[in-house]
Amino acid sequence: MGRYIIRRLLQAVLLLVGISVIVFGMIHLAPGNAAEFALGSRANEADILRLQHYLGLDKPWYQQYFQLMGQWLRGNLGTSIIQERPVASILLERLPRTAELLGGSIVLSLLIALPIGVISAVRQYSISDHIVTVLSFLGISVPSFWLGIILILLFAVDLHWLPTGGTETVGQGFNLVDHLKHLAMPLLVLTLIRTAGWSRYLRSSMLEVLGQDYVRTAKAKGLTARVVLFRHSLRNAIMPIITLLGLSLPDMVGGAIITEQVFNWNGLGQLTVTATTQRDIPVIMALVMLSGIAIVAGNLLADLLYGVVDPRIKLH
Amino acid sequence: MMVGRTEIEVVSATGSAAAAQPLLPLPTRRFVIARRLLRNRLAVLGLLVLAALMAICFSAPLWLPYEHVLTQVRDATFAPPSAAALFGRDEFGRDAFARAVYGGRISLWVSLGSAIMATAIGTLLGMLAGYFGGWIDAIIDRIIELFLTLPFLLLLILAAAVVRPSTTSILLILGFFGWAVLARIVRGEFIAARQRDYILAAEVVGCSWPRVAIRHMLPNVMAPIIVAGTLLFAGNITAEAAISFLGLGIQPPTPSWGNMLTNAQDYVISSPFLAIFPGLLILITVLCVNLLGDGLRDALDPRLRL
Repeated sequence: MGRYIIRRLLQAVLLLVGISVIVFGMIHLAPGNAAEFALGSRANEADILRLQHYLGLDKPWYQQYFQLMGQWLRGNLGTSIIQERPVASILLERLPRTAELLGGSIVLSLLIALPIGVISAVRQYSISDHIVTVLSFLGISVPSFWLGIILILLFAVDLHWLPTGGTETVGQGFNLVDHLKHLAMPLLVLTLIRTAGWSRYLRSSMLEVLGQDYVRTAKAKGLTARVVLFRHSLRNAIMPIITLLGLSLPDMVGGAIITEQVFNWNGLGQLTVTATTQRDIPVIMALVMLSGIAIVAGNLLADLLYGVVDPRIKLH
Repeated sequence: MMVGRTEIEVVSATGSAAAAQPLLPLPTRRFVIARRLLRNRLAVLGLLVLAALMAICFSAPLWLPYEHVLTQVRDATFAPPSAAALFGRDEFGRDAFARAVYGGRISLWVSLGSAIMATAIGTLLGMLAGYFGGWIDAIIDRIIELFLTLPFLLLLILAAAVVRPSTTSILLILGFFGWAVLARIVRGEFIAARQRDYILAAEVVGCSWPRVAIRHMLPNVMAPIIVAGTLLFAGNITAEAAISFLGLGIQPPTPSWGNMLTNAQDYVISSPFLAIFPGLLILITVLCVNLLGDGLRDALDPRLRL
C-alpha cells in the first residue's frame, strides 16, 4: 500500500511537470503578451518593448519557464503582471468563491441523485423511472451557459426573486442572505447538470447489483425489502460514485469556468478566462497547476477509497 | 427487407449433398443490430431529428442565400420573431434564423469533423498500445493519462488563444485534445481481444500485424468505438458552443450557435428570443445525439441475446 502510494505520487509529479511544460509552451505560442495588455491599446511600441524587457518577457521561453519553476520551488507563486499583486493572494481571495460553488453542488447533487437513482432502479420502467430518464437526458444534454441564461431570464428578469449575477449587492458590504441569493442560481445550474449524470449512473449501477445472486439469496431467506435494499444493495451500488467523483473533477473545472462567466461570479473560473485573454502567465500557470493537482489528487483518492470500501480490490 | 439476410443450407440427415436446400433465412448480425436500434423509439426519434437538422443546415446554400446572414436591417434591430425573420433580428438587425441555419452548418461540421478526427487518433493509439503492450503501451498510456488529466475546457481556451480562431482551427483543436477517453477504451478492448485464440490462429498462419490488428481484431471492438465516437460528437457540440460563447471560438460575423449566445446575454431582458433559439438548437441536437448513442450502446451490446 505504502509503495503503491509513493509510486502514484511520483507519477503524479511527472504528470504535473508535463502539464506545466505543455501549457507554458502554448501560452508562448499565442500572439500578444501581457505587456501589451498592461499598457492598453494606445501605448507606443517603445514603451511595450521596455516593459517586456523589465518583466523578462523578451527572454527565450525555456529561461522564463525555469525562472518561474525556480520561484515556485522556493514557495513563491510569483506576481501577477496585470494586477501587480502576488499570485498567491489573488488565488486565496478567489478560492473560497469557487469552493462554495463546487462543494455545494457536489453535496446537493449527491443528496438528490442518490434517492432518484435508487427509486428509478427499484421501480424500473415505472412512470417515475421514465420521467427521471427523460429529465436526466435533458440535463446531460443542456449547455450550462444556456441553462444559466434561461434561469436568469426566469428568476431574475421575470420573477425578480434573484439577482442576475455577482457575489453580493454592490455597496452593501457582506450580508449572508444577500450572498446566498447570489449563490442560488450558479449553484442550481451546476447541481442540475451533475444530478442528471449521477442519478443515471447510480440507476444502472443499482440495477446491476439488484440482478446479483446475493440479492436474490437475501430476499429468499426472508429479509425485509428495506434491509435488502439498504444493507445489501445500496452499499455495493454506491461504490462507482466514488470513482465518479474522482473522474468528474476535470469536468467540474470546466463547468466552473463557464458558469462563473455567465453569472459574473468572481471565482477561479472567471479568473481563468481573464488571465488567459490578458496572457497573465504567472496567474495562468498557477491556475493550471491548481486544477491539475486537484484532478490528480482526486483520482488518487478515488482509487485509494475504492480499495478501502471494496476489500476484493487489491492495489499494486 | 430481404437485404442483409443470408440463407443457410441445411444438409439433410441422409447426408446427400443433392438434398441440401435453403430452409431458414438467418438474419445477419448487422441486420439484427439495425432492427434492435429501430425498435428503440427514442433512438429512432433522435436519428430522425438529427438527420432533419443536418439536412436543413447543410442544404442551406440551396435555399437561403448567405447575404441574409450578414445583411443588417438598420431600422429593424431587435425585431421580434416574424414571418420575415423566424427567430427575430439581432442587435445589428441581422436575420437570426439565417444565422442559426448557417451557424448550425458550422457547429455541426466542426463537432462532427473533430469527433471523427478524435476517434481516428484514439483508435490508432489505443490499438497500438493494446496490441503491442510493453514499452509502446507504457509510453502511449502515459500520454493518454496526461491528456485525461489536463482540464479539457481550460486547454481549449488556451489553444483557442494560441491559433487564430477559425472553423478549421477549432475543429483541429477539439479533435487533437478529445481522443484520450476513446483511446483508453480501445486499448482495454484490444488487450482483452489479444488473449483470444483466433488471434493466435491468425498469427500462426502468418498474418502480418497490421492485418491481424485491423482485419481480425478491429471489427470485434467496433461497438464501443462507435458508441464512444457518438458521445464525442455530442460533447464537441457543447464544447464548441462553450468556447465560442466565451468569445474564443468561431469569430463573428461568422455565426455559430455558441457565439450567437455571447451577445444575447446582454439583451436577454429586452429580447429573450435571441438567447432562446440558438440554445434550443444546441439542446435538441445534443439530446438527439445522446439518445442515438444510448440506443447504439444497447443495440451493439454483445451480451444481449441476438
